[in-house]
Amino acid sequence: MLGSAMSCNVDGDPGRVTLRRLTGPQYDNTVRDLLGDASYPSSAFPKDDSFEADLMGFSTLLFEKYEAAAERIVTDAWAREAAGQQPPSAKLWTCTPVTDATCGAQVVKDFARRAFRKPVSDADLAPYLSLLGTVPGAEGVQAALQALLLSPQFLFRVELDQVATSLTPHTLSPHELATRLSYLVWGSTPDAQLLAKADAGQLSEPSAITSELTRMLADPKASALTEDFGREWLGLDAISKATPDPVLFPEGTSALLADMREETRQFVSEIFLGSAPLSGLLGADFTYLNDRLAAHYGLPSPGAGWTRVTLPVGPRRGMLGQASMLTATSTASRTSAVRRGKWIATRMLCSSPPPPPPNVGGLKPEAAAYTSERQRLEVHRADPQCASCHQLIDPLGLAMENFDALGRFRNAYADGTPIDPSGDVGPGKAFQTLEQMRELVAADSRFDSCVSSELSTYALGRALRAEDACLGAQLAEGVKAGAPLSKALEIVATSRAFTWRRGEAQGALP
Amino acid sequence: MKPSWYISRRTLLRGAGVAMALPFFDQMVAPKANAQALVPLRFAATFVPNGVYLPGFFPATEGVNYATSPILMPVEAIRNDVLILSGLDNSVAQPNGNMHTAGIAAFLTGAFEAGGPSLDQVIAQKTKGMTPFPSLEFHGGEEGIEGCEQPCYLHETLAWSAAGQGIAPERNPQAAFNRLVGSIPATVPSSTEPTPPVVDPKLAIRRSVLDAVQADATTLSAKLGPTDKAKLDAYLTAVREVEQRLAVGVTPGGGTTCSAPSSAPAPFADDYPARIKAFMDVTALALQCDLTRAVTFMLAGWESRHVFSFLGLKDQHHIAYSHHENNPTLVDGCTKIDRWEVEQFVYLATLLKGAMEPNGQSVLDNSALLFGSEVSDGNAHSRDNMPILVAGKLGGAIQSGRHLKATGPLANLYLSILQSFDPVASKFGNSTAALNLKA
Repeated sequence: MLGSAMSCNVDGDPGRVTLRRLTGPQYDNTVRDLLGDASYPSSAFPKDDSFEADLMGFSTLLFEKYEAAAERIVTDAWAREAAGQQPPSAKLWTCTPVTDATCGAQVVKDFARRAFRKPVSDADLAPYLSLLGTVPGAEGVQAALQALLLSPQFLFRVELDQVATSLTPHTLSPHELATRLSYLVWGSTPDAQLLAKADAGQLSEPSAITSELTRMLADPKASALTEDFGREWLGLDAISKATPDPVLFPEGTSALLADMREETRQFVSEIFLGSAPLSGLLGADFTYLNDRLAAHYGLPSPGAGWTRVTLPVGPRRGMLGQASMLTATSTASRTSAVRRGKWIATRMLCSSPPPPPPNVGGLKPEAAAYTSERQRLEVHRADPQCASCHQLIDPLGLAMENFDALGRFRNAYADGTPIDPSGDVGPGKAFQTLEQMRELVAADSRFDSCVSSELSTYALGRALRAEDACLGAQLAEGVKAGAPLSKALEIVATSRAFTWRRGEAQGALP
Repeated sequence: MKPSWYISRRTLLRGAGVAMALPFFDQMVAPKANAQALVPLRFAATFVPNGVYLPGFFPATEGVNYATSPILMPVEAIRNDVLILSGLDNSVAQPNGNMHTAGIAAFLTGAFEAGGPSLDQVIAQKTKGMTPFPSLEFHGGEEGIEGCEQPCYLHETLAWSAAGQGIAPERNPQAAFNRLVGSIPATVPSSTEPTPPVVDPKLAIRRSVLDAVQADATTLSAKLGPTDKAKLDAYLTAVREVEQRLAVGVTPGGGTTCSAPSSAPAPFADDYPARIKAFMDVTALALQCDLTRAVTFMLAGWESRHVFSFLGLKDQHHIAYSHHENNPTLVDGCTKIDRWEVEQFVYLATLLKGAMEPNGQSVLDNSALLFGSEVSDGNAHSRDNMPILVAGKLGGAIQSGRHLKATGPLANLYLSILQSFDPVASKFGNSTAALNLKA
């Protein structure tokens, strides 16, 4: 049985997350839900986010991008309103006519509440309503809406303390909690129901949080978990950057690469949003295939379109057998056991080895004489500077050498040299096959704590710290016991770290 | 006196629809009053990832009579304008961490994990208000590349406004161009007297919107703790900078002649060499028209999956060619990439050599263009003997046309460049002493 998260929640420091700016995907999802804009405006923004939050500083370039986006988004939404095409949940004209001063102010106020994800005070509204005085008519209303999309209360997820410099923990406001929940599951702004629950103060009990979570996970918007959390944790973007050499790999067409990406997206989506344990990422007995990808794998045609397929016991099961991961970790002309091994060590075990020390010479020239990746890497490991770390990652990657640089199964290299996938996942954990390696990784306690740490970093917007040990242990225990992602999310979302906060001492900055 | 970047938007647009045989045309000559009094100095850093094939980079001998190397052959065309600097190190990138990521974060900051502002940003602080843009940041590579043990953002930019405050670069040359042109006031340039500004109602609305969000942010700021307040301050600074640019009366340091492309470049999403060239053109435009004094341009990220197929190569720069394992075929491929990168640098320098200041000097004469990388020898991940080129004479502060063997951290070079912008500067990053670039 999984313990209740509340057992961790007696007292102690809930930790503190820094003011977070919306990431690119969060911005896109948010304007989609607020204004019905499906144009992914962040594709024009400078890339500055990773995983949980913005990481770069604010720049004039970024602000100008926000300005251009806000102008276009409001203009387009206005045109849809005028044509009666705006989705009801994104309705801007909450009264008519908007050219009327009272109605114009109402439209601004209604949108501000949704854009700021909270009830708005007169003080919040004053700068924006003043635009209605400066700019007459509908143009003034549009200017105010644009300004709201440039407000720090929109661009940042603002959470306040009664006393900003007090370290005394306190619960989040209901609207701050609703916002954390909706960005956790949907990567987007709270919907009307979540805001209404917050308005009514109905989010304070863990059971209320759990029931909202269940509702939210059933919503199609929960695909953000795959898109955002999965993208960052599992590196799902990398496949779109793969560039197989067209002469060596004429089969590696952009259509096939797109199929590879789609297989993994659908697979991860079912693992995340279904009832499977998270270790299913490594060994689940199913995947999704279309004709082209099935042929690439040498499997029978699954029928028309994308089909859920049960896979026999064997190397193809799980992400380590998916062409997306296998291609993304290859170079343009060959496999790289080092990259594949590093992928498992980093993403499944969170035990990335330290990088090579300076002035190591790289692989010795004699390595070029070998076709087998194992022999090449043995030359490498003969160097004591390299051995200590490569002993950890090389065997994991070599276990996948039966897959070529496009993820096709092979028993031998082109020159007939047979492939030997055996190795070990650390002392006393030897394996003969990829399947055995997968099982050893899934059973490794580092896998449980790795998933726990990746998920809580995503959910909390900060790394786990000493005071989060109880939450981390509880999550890891849940993962070990086969908890699906929904259960793990419940543990995080009802935790003290997620539902409480505190201020920050004056002088915390130099 | 008019700002030196005073080329008319209308003039630019007029050329936009015309098919031009040449990519550039002479656009306008700025008023020359006092031009000799204040000649603006400029700095641009161009960065190439994964070091170079070091045995093919530095000439064997020092001084002006050096025999060129396989990789530096493109420099021959402007040999007298380039200083080749060997012997400097990027060791501050050490304690630990991925050599590439740590090297990039240290490259222009002289500080571990970008623990201080980068050279371009320190210069931008000194030249703020003289040009429409305090600095510009460009990146020629694709987004979101894997491969960081340290936080990935550390290798996404060269520009750091303060410790840990990275500036995310523009990756689309078309957007970069339009932003520059959009900063130029829409007035007629033919008269030397400023014509009354055309009242642009959209501009007035934009200003009001900026006022509204500043008022909101100022109220919010009072409610925040120290870290959050600092983060919001960065937002407020950006809003104010945009507002200042909209305000009339940005006075740059001096006059230049200024050439502008007849139309915006394409985004060149899938054409790497065309994208790099377009960014070099935009960089030249910005420096020549005195739209900024500080530019950083990363030609690519270190783990870029881009394949240099236009050089006849078949695999990625980092894993295949920079880690060549001394395999002759791969060494040859690495050398080709390195030489191509030097060619791009020389292309930028050549554009600025052809751009004349009102006093008859070239823009290059008053610039320092840096070429460098995060590691020296890509195969060995070493951080000593960094491959460094400086094009331009920086108003006479640099004696170019030679190979100079130096020692010490890269920051010593940066300190001596900085002193041209700030004569009292005595320290930059981990500098130990300014490098003497005149002798």
